[in-house]
Amino acid sequence: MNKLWVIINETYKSQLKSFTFLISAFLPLIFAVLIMIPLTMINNNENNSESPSVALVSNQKTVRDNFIKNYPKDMDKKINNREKAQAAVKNGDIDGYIFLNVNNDQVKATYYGNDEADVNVKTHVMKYISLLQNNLNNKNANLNAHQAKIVNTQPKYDSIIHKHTVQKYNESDDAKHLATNICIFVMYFILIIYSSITAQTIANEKGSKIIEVIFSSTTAMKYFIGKIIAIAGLIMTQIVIYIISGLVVYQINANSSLIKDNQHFINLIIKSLLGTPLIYTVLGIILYVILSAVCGALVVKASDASKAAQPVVLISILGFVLSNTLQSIPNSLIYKICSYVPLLSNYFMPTRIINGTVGTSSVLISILILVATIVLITWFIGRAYKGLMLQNSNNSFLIRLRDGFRYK
Amino acid sequence: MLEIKNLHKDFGDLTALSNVSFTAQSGHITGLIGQNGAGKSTTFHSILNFINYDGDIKWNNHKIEETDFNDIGYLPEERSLMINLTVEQQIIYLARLKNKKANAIKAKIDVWLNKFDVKGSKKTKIKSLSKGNQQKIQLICTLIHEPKLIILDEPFSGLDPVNADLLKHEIMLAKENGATIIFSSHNMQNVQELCDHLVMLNSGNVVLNGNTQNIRDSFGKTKLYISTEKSREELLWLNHVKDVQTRFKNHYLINLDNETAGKEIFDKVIGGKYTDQFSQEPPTLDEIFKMKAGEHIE
Repeated sequence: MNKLWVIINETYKSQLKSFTFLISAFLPLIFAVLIMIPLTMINNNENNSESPSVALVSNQKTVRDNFIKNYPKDMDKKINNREKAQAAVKNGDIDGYIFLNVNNDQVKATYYGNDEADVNVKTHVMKYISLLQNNLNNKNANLNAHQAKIVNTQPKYDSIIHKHTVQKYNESDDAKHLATNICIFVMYFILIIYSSITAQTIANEKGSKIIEVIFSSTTAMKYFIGKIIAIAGLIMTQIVIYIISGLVVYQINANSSLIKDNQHFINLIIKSLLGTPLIYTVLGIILYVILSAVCGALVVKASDASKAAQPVVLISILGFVLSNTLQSIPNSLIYKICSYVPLLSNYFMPTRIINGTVGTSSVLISILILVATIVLITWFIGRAYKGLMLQNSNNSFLIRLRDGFRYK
Repeated sequence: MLEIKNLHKDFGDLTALSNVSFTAQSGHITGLIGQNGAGKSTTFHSILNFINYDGDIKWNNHKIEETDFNDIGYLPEERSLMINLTVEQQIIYLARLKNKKANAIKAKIDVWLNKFDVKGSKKTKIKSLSKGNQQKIQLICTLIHEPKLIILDEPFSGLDPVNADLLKHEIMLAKENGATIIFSSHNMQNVQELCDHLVMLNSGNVVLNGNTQNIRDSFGKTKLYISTEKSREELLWLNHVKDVQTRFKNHYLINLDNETAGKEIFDKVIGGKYTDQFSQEPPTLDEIFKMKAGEHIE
């Protein structure tokens, strides 16, 4: 156990500091920040453009103050008398100002400006002066409280919506489609990176012969399992970095109109991605990593390490392309079959889960097949790993693979 | 004690080892010599369980198992380190794989770097070290956990004479501490200096096996180092002289056809006169190696 931990620790730490990991883990975050900057700027501009360009002055201070209190974003708070307002209009600091004149029986608002006042501002002012005028009328009519209540009764407007009849736009479908694409792309992206990292690391070890020293210290099975666990840990770390980065970006922009306007849509995507599709992503990548380790172990020279992952990358591309091509027919037989086949199921089943076209039992069977494949392949390759790493024949890939398994 | 009995290994049609048997005692140094392809590395790989084999290999009367790996120090023929690690990280990683505590090893690293006169600190990356210094680091990795069975495949290759002496010193120290040491080398001078026991392989067969001095003596003291004013031609006319090599002025190396001829030559050439050299010795290991390798080729 101790040696297994030493192997996991060393592999994990050395890979965590590697350039490839740092780039792959933080590049999306850098992109997110780069996207955030213009978004924040746009948001700020929106906020700036919403800054009051109109002032409100009145012959009664409390009337003005109450309006500003109720609609703080509508009016420039600094301008509080006509002289200042006129000067500001003249200087072009504001578009105009409203003078609110309240006498004993009449409330009158007059707008002075170079441009028309904003519709919202006009609506708010109209609502406010109507209320003021009503209060004034009630007062002048000497109505008692009961009469005043009757006079001020407002009409009511209710809306009752029957959801099943009004679905003119299905936001949920778009969210699922986007979540599927994100899931497949992220998986493909991580998978390509880790297939390459694994194959290269193992090919370098084989090429440098350090493996002989290591095999004189521990068993090949323990070493292989340690490597796979460490790389699985690294994958989990990368996914956690992505999730945390996403949450940070989300929180920073929580108040932006982009997020607010699409809150429900974003929540649907997050809900679709977290959960079972995430399990498929991790398990699928681990299976590919194990196969990449075999490819790395079959390299003859350290200089060939960069090419070692090619067979696995090709299978991965096949899965990626097939799942994308067949995405429009998730209920087809081929799609269903592929969602149970290890190496393909990690691409196909998440799509079916996100689209809700598969039952829990089918998902469980598919996961069981995937987990069983991972365990069996790990055990099988772990047993043959010594042979794969120590044999140095110069034959073709398949003959080397055969010789590796037959190595005695 | 490492006991190897009837070790046999075939690679397809090629017999790499054929009934190889020898014993490497604790506190002794065993030299495994032979030409390239003789089976030295295959023997080491068999001991380390890298390959399956026929026959018996026993370490302290039992088959080598995973728990015994902690007592083994192995230096492979091809040099290999993890070049992106620092010296300290590399030494600690390999020592931890031998179940040693990191702190215990950390405390010893500076001492070992000084012992081997490594040009670089423990924080230096392996890839920044020269080839020779990398080799020293690998030797440190092999020895720092104080193994009881030390297997060194060509440990002297690439080391200059000064550094070779440093390694010899450490090997002798390990021997004094009771370790079983087995190493291969093409440098017969080093083998002759260090080894208590010698095993020579030729095409997978043991052709020599025994105490190093006894093996040399078994070939007879047929080499005569002599200092005389007689010429090379005069010496060649003497009985039992096979050939004469001039080493330097008035100093010759005479190869005799039997060791008893030495006395006759002493009487004839030296007589009662003074000489600064008259020494009769067995053939060197180098000569024995060539002789044995030659026999096989013939």
